[in-house]
Amino acid sequence: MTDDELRSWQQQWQQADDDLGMIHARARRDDRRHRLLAVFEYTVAVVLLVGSVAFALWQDHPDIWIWAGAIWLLGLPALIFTIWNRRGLWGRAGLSARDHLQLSLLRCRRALRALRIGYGVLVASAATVLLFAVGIVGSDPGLNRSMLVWLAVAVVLHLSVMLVAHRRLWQRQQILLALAREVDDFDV
Amino acid sequence: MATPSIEDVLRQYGAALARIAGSYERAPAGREDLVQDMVLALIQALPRFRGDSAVATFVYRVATNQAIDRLARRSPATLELSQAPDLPDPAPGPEGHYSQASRREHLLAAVRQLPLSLRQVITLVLEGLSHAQIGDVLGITENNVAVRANRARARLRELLQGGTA
Repeated sequence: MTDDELRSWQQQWQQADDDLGMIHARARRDDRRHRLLAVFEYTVAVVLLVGSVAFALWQDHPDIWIWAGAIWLLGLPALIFTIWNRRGLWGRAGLSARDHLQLSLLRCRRALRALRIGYGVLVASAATVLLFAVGIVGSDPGLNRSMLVWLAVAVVLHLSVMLVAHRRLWQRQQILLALAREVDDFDV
Repeated sequence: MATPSIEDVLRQYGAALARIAGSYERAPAGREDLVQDMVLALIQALPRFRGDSAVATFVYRVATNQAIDRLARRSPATLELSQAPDLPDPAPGPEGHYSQASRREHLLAAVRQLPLSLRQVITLVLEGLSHAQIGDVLGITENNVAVRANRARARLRELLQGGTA
């Protein structure tokens, strides 16, 4: 093992030189898209919560008030949980690789926890709509078949998206655990 | 310490980002995507750079972390494929010698075959970082860096000489 060998490798290695002009521009666009998505997520939640009350005030119908109540009962805890679940995950930059691996694992665990809560919110939302559809809640008694069809379609779609996300997150967690194990195996 | 602009960082470290990406991604499109992820991460992280480490350490940390994220986003099947040997034939061509570019490709392919813990260290060694700087980037001790660097060099030598390691 010689330093000449290392110097020769370093020389070969450092020959490559790429122009990042286009990549920089694309990354800038991605950055703007990420910011918009982050704002969009919270905006939707706030619009739903505030909009439901505004709509209920405007319509002033008992059914609409029950709907608005259901949205608040499910939406507000979900929003609070989302904010709470993200504590400590953001705002840190330039972590060492080891710390970054641990943070990535934490992000995965939190995302999986959010998904598990999401299943609960989906069941609760579906149950609320079902109560309306079969006439147990609301002033319109009787079976509302079209509402039931929409409910079934919405539940299946949501569940499919959530299951795919769950599988991907679980796989990512397994890979991160394997990478963390590999890095730690070399501790001396 | 003043926060450097992304343009300054890319001017100084752009080529290094591309080289590190090449040690994780064989396909040019994949490399480009990874470099884009690195640049995006730098755009988002630089405003939070407080100068508690050298700019170089900060940039290499962000780049290495993006490479880890990239590995974690792959499906297990793709991950295994990426570790399949892809070394070019080490025998000299008809001209009797390697071109500089093919030597570099050969080195890059050998680096890609190393396990993560060795690959992380050897790429930073090849970039010319000191053991102390590498320790800062990876969050390990200098002693640990030295051990990994030695093992990585031994494995690399075997791979470049056509051994299976």
